Amino acid sequence: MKYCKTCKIKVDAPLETCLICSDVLETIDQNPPANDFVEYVEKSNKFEVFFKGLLLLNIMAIVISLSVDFILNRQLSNWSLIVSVSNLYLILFVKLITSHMKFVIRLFWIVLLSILELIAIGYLTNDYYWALDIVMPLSLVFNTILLIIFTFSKRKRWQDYVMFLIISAVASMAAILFPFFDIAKTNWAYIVSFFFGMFTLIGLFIFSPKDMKEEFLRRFHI
Amino acid sequence: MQKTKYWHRLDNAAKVFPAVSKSGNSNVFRLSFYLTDQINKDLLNEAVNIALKRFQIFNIQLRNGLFWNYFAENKNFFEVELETSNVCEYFKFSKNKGYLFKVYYLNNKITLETFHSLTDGTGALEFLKAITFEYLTLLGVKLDHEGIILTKRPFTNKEDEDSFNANYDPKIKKKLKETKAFKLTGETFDDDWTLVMKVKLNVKDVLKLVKEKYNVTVTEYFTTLIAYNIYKEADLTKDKRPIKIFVPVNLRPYFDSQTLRNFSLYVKANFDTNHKWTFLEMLDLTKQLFTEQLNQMELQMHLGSLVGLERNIFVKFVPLFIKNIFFKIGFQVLGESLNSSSISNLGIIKLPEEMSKYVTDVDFINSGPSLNSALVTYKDQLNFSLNTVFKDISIIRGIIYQLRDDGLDVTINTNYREGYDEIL
Repeated sequence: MKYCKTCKIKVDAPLETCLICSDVLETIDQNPPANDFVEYVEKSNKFEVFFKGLLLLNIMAIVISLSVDFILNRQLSNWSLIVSVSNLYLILFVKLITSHMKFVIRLFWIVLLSILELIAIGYLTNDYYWALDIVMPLSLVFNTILLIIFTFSKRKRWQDYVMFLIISAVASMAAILFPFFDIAKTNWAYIVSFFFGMFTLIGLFIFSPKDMKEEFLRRFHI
Repeated sequence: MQKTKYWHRLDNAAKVFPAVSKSGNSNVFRLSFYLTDQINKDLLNEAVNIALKRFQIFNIQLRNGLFWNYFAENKNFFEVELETSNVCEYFKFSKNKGYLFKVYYLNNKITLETFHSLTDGTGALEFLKAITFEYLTLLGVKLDHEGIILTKRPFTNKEDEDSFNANYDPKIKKKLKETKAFKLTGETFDDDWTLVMKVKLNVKDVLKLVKEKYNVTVTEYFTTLIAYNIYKEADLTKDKRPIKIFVPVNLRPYFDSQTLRNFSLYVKANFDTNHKWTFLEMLDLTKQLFTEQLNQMELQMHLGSLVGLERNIFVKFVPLFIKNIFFKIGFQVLGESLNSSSISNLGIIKLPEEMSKYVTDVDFINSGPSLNSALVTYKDQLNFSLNTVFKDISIIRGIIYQLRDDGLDVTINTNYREGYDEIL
């Protein structure tokens, strides 16, 4: 224990000088000072620095490619837009992959992000039907299969995944609107996606009616 | 029997915190017990997981609904951590296995840091008592729980009650009118580090002082102490708004509630900065303001206004993400500017007699983006902790000098070390 003769208070901390008046503390007994707090350690922010660097490089790549393209052609052509879309994809991909969401949920969002990326590149290369007609519906089916496996193989995690499974199944069904409104040209993949989504939802209600009711009560409570 | 599947709505006090909490405004508070021996990490881990099975309100994770957040059961194994240097630090629940609290160990200290959506000081104290009891039992100490350790008592639904809604009477409410308060400003520490100053006082001396010299309560005295030193030390020339001290009030005794969830409101002590104050004048006003605000009818009206807003049909049906935007904007515009400082008194800590031989001291620390303080009494000691984000400690100095001048034997402890002002 120490004592500050200026402030006339006891100081029970590992200090040599008084925090209040900066005077040197006197030792008044041989009891070691209380060490009740952890010493400050500078936090490591390596990833933050890496991500900011990546962000800066990608913004530079976008700005430079768009500027060069515009200066040379007096308009934006596809190559610079493809570069920009890819840069944006990379930033979001790194952010998602390093986030603290559960692995399955991260995968769910990465698949959705990748679908958008492929459709965007398809549009920019004037050949988007492969992305829209085949990749999108089958990716939605893939996402739904993935979530079914995780939801039912880890019953303890049912509540964690089921809402994503429902969203994925509904999205698989809703995708049928693309061929319906002639946005997509190939039907078979969308029909597979629609029925897969529908049977998934029906399956959920058949296999876990109580859990589904509970989930809706939780999510939609007012 | 314990439920394994459960969920509950967030109580009135809990709803705003998830949207507005961030680094630097964590809405986390700390309770620590100091034991006689070094803490065994593995046994503490086991003790927390035993206690968690009984404390349903802690064994949860925050989930998003369409209109409101809700708490759902959390089946993850909880793990304790070595204490970190930042007190009441903001943490992401996803990095904490979904849990809204942290348990730290350091030397002979067990620390519970709780996010305020989960519960208030009273609820957290019950949990820490149970953790410590289970820990000591695992160490092989034979203890009598004396009926005050919840893990040794059967679960009752009353513990899980949303007492705000249970005590809501739509006919009793008043219009809440809040104006902005004088705001402390200054250079802050880097890295969201905050300075903690723990002032240890003899409780008998404090009681003698407040009763005999001033004829006020402990909370009234310390509330005035903070306000008066802000008045004396802060630069009031540019900001003429009143000094407002935010004082949380435990509502359980007023409404006969046993809930472990949040059940507190607040009273405020407001002081016009244009007035020339003496400490005694301020103390008289604090006493008067507390008497006016601390009665069942006033608190019922206050509660009615807050719950009434939550039950408004338009508020209910606005999707959560829009509500969150409004919470954030509202908090940015008003939240941080409604109070100058805060003080929370947890009261006297009562432990089973045998257990109290192993618990030597208690800390209670509050956080916030300004100067926050907390009081807790254990055995013959009253601990007054001050937690500030500001490098300028003239208000804290004034408070400590005034305690000393009032004849109290002051011992301080701090998390500050020499050289911090250069690196932080």
